Amino acid sequence: MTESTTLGPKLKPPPGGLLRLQRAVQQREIKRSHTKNWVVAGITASVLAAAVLIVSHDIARQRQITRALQQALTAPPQTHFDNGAYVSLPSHDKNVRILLIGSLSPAVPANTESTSD
Amino acid sequence: MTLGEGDLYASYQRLERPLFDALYRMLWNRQDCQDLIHDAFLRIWERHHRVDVDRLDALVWVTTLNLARNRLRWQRLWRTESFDADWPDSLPTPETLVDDLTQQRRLHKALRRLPAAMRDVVLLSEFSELSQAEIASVLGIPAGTVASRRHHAIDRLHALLTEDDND
Repeated sequence: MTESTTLGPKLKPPPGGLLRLQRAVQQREIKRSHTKNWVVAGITASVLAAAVLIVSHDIARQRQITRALQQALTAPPQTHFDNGAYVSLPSHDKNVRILLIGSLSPAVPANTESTSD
Repeated sequence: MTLGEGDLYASYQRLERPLFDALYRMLWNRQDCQDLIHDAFLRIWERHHRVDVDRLDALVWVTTLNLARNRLRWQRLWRTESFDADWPDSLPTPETLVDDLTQQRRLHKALRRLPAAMRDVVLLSEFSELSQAEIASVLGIPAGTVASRRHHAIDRLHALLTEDDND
């Protein structure tokens, strides 16, 4: 008795196996491509949202500082400083501190050279 | 070189028949065999970026055999063994049908009693068209062991079939 006769004849698989595999692979590729697109879209949206938040926060902060500075400058002078010290100016915004810093040397005018005849 | 769709389909065409022949002697159900071959190829495709084309056929055999072993364990656990007796390609006469069916049942019983390590060597040697070294690689055993295990397995199978004849 040979092995072939022991183990029986060679068989023919049911038809359509290759077609079934091709369809399954193509479906998976389509699904994978969709998943990839969704992931890319999600990441892009997250980055954009973060950028908008950061920029809007920055703009609001700039506006807050500008407003406080304008208020401080328009207020009547109540403070003085001595030789390089800084003093606090009154700020109407609790989130903004305004410090006025003086210089030790007197300011030099832009055009100091005198012309002699 | 990574695996492309064309390589996968070419491998399917090349291996479908030998895989089916080997699996049928393990699962004894045509549809189960086809499903399992399909699943094995899909699993390989899932990680095709990491698959070397030169090792594809061996990988298909390893994956398919692992899936078949899992299926057999599951069948034994849940006692859902099948036997669809769908043997020859040509239409048999009533006499040959009875003979074939009897032969199938005897073989089914004998192969189920054969230790899994022996069964795998016999089926791969008979149907896979792989070399002895390749079979050793697929089964993860030394090349020299394949020949000796095959020899013992054939003897044991004949003994089991003869034993069944005498019952």
